[in-house]
Amino acid sequence: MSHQNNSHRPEAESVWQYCWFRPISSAGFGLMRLGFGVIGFVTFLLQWSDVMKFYTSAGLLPHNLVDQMVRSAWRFSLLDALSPTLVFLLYLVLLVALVLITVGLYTRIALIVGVLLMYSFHEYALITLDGGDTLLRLIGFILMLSPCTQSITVTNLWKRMELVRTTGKDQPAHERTMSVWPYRLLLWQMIIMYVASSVEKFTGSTWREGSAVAITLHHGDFSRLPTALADALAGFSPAIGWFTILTQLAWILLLFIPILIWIRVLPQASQSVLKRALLLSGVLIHGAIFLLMDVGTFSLTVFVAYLGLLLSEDFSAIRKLLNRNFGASTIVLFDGRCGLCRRSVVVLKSLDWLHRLEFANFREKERKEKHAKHISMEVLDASMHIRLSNGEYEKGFFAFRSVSWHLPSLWILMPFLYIPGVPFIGDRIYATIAKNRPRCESDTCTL
Amino acid sequence: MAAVGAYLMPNGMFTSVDFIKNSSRGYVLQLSQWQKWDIFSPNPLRRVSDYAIERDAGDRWETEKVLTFDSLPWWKRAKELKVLGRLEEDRWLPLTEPFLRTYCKELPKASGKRIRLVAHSIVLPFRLHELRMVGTTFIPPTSTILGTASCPRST
Repeated sequence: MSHQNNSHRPEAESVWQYCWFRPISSAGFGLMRLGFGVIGFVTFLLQWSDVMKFYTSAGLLPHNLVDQMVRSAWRFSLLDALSPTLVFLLYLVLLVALVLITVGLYTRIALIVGVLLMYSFHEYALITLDGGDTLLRLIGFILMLSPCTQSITVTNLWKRMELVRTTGKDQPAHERTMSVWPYRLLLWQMIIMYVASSVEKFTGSTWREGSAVAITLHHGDFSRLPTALADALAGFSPAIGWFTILTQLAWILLLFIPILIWIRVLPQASQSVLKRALLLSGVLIHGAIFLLMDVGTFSLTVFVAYLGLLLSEDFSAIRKLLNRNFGASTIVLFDGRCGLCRRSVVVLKSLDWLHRLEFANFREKERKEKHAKHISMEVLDASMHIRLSNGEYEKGFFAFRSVSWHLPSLWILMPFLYIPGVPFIGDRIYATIAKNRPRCESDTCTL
Repeated sequence: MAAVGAYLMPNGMFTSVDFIKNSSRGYVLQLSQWQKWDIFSPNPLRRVSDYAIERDAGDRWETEKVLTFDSLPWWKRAKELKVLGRLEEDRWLPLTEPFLRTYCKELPKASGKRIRLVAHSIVLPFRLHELRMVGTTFIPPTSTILGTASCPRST
C-alpha cells in the first residue's frame, strides 16, 4: 500500500485543487476494482444456465414486449435487437472483461467494455435486478471514470518488475496514487444511497413502530432463520431498526464535516473517526443481513464499495489493529545479484499489505552482518532464508510457507501448504529453482 | 451526483429540484445512474409466497414444480424469487406467460398441455407482539393464479 501525502492542507494550495486533485493512495480503489470484478464475474457466471431465460427474446422478455415493459425515453440496451446466440457471445465477452478487470490486465479497456455490457444486461433484465446489482453498476461507473489502474494490477506488477530489472529500483509509492475526485464521487454515491434508504424507512410505519426487522427475519422468501428463532429475536427488532435508520442517516454528516474542518470548527481527525464509525456500523448491519438473509449480492457489494472508501490513514489504522500482537518484522534475506529473486521481492512487497516483512539483500555486507551473521554465503545462496521475530531461521519452501501467514492474499493457499506430501514436493521444487536460477555480478541483471 | 440525488426525490417538492431532474433525466437514464433505495422500505413486504407450476390434467391441475426458498438451488434462489415476487405486481404481469414457457422444456409431462403459475401466500402480522409468536399461530394462506401458458408439443 502506498502512502498519501498528508502534509497537504487547503492553506497550502487552492481549495479547488485540494478538493479534487489532491493525490491519495489508489490502493482502496484497486481493491474495490478487484472486488467489483470478482462479484461481477461470480454473479454472471452463476447465471450461466439462465442467460437465455433472463437476457434473450427466447426467455422472459420477448422482443415484442420490450417497448411496452422496459423502455422509455433515454433507456436502451444493446440486447434489445440481438438474437439469442449473439447475446450469449456478448455474455462471454462480459465474463472475459470481468476476469481482466479482476486481475488488472488491459484494465481501462476491460472496465469500459465490462461496465457498458453490464449496463445492457441490466437494462434488458430489469425484472431480475436487486439492490446489489444496482450498486455494482454504480461502482462500475465510478471505476470506469477513475484512474484506478495503478494499484493491484498485473500490469503494474509487471511494470514494477521491469523497473527492477532495468534500474534495480522499485517503483516509488507516490506513483501508485490517484486524484481524490473518484473517492469523492464514491463517497457521495454512498451518502445518497444511505440517506435515501433512511428517508424511505422513516416514511414506513413498521420501521417507526419497530416491527420492520422482525418482519424481514420472518420472511420465508429470503430469511435463513427457522421461525422459532425469528420469533425469539423479534424483541430486538425496534433497537436494530432504529440503529439502522440513524446510522444510515448519519452518513450525511460526511458531507458537512469537511466544511466544519475547513473553517476550523472541528479537528482534521473528526472526518476519519466518523467515517470509520459509519463503516463499522455498516459492516455490522450488512454482515448480519448477509448471514441471516439471502437477498443476493447486496451486502457483499456494499463491502466492495467500502474498500474504495479506505485511504492510507485507514489502511494504517487497520494495520495497527491487526499488528497489535505482532512482534518485530520477519526479515526476508534475498540474493540481490539474482534478477528472479529481486522480482520475487517486488511480488512479495506488493502482497505485504500488513507491512510485516523487511527485505535484506544478503550480498550487502552490512545487511548480512546484521541479519545473518552466522550463516555462510554458500548456505544463503542455496535458498531463500527468513529470520522470524523470535530469532529463528527458516529456508526454502518452509520460509515461503511462514511468509504466507503474513500475506492476506495468500491465506487461501495456506491449507494446501500443510497437506502431507506438499512440503516434501514443494521443498524439492523450490531447491531445483533456486539451484538453477541465473545469477550475475552487477546490480542490474536479467533472468 | 446532483442529478442522481434529484432523480431520487419525488416530483413537485421543489421547483429547482424538478428543473435539475428534468434537465438531467437523459444523463441519468442513458448512463444507467438511476437508483431507488427502497430495500425493505417504506415497509418490508409482509406477503410471503410459495410458488407452484401446475399442469392441466383434464379435470384437475397437477403440481409439476414447486418454487420455494428451500426447493431452489442456492445460486438461483435470490434471482428466481425476485422475479416471482415481481410477477405478483401488476406492472410485470404480462411476463408471466413467457416466464412459464421457459419451464416447458424441463417439464416433460407438460408437452402440449397448459400450465399455470400459482402463488400460495400468507401475510405476516404487522404488530411486534404478534411477530413474536408466528411459529405458533395459524396464518390462513390464499392462492392466486398469476398466469397461464401453453407448452408446445415436444417432437
